Amino acid sequence: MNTLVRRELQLIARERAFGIALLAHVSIMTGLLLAWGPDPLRSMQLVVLGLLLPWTAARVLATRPLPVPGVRALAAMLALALVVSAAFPVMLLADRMAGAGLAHALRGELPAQILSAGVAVLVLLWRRLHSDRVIGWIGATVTALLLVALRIAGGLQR
Amino acid sequence: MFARLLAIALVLLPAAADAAVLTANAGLDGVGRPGRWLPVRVAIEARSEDISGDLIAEWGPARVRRAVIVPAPSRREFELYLRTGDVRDVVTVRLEQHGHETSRVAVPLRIVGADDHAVLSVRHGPWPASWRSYDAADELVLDGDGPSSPEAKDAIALWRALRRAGDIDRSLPSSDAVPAPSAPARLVSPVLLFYTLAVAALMLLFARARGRASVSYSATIIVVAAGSTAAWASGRSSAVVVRHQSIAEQFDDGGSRTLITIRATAQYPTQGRFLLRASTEDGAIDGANAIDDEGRFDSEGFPTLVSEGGIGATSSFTVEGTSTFRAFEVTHDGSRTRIANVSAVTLERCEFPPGFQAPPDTRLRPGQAVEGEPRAADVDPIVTCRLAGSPIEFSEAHHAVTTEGATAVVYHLRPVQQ
Repeated sequence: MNTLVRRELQLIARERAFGIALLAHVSIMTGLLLAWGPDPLRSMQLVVLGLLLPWTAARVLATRPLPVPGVRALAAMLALALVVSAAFPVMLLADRMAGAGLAHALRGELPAQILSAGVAVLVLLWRRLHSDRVIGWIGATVTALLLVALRIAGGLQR
Repeated sequence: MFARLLAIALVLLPAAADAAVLTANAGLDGVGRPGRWLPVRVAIEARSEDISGDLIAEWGPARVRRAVIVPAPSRREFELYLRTGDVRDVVTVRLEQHGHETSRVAVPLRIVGADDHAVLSVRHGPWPASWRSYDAADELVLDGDGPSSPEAKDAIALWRALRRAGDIDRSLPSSDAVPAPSAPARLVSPVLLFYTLAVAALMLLFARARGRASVSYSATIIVVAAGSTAAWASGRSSAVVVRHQSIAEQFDDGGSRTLITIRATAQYPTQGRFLLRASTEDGAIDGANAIDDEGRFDSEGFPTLVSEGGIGATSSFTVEGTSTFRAFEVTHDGSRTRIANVSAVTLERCEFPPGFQAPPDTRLRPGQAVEGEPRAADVDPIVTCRLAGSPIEFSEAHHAVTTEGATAVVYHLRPVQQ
């Protein structure tokens, strides 16, 4: 199992899309912070991830069948978690600009990490539903954005 | 007179009554006046236990809080100043220890209208050492020879000079704007820029280290950890920046103190709570967006501004106080007046009243003097120059403080009689 996950992670790292996703996430969040300031950044990050993570997963996950179920999902979760974590320094600075500290930044990371795990599962589920990669990607993106919208609406209501 | 006006109230809480006795009196000659400073003199006697807490004085909506430490057995006196347009005929003084009120005194006042002519008596000492003690008076009747201490003489001289110059209607130079604070994003942009470049370098590593996923993932984790550390540390050792426009006023026959008025902003380099202190014992800070509306003073009597916020947050405030800083020395010889720069810096953009020959470059270098015969034209003739820097220093408990801005130094000359 461990070896299979490593193997999958190795395959993900070989994909250029993974590095692009890392840089895109950090660059977009940096740009948003410099342009709009710290206040709306958490919600904006979820929208960015709702768009970016399904594309990343669709591009970097292999399609060949694996003997052990769940291996690919686990590897995808780990890889996408790293993409999310890459913007943590930006989010920490945003929280510090808003007067909050490290603990608040760590708590704020949780919804993004939950979303990344959800997207990993969603992309693989959509792949099972439809063999076309593009349709799977679009389906996963729409579902992820719906989840993000629900989360933001819930946050606004609170 | 002070004794007659002394309003003494006993402590409210029986338990505290054994430990502390609070007495207070307020107002010169027991008088309070709208828009004028009201002195409140408080004595705390610690009988059996050391007292450490906050002394709070309230007059209508105005409130000041001063940290106090009184070791037992001893008695200490404190002087607080309040000012409001919405006056009441009573001042409340409270002592709080560990967040709980332990003593309270209500001091009655006689209110004089803002437009009335107030002739107030100062019958015997101790003589107040701040000009603000006399602010409610239009005229003073001093007992005997008046004060003997230089501080009290200075206080009365400054009060008289202010009244002579027209008080709030006195001449003042046009004031420049306070320098704008930096955009908060600018303070964090170096860390963001370096981090984004590091992630871009990672992308190249991913492209080149194909087949060595452990190297790529380890490098990513290291870069994220380093970026997080830099984001956490950003600004923590940087200085609070105070940007200001100040006015330092000297008066003919106004004693040795200079009246200081500062409009300023403080910008904080990191998130947290800040306690900014102005180095004037005879002054006050009025914070526009401080934590609360009360004027605060530390245990040494220096005015403080308590604020909290994030990286790049800004507080606006004003400081009114006095200082020993002096830019001019003015001597009169018959009808001639000589104005010399006695500061250590060159005074810029100097303007003189009619009758003086201003230097062609409008500068007055250290030691340089200008002579002239002021004409009987102005009610309050003034000499004005400008210098870089602040006449009052600022400090903060955990951070260095840098100041940016300029000071208009003003000398109010005695008006020439017609």
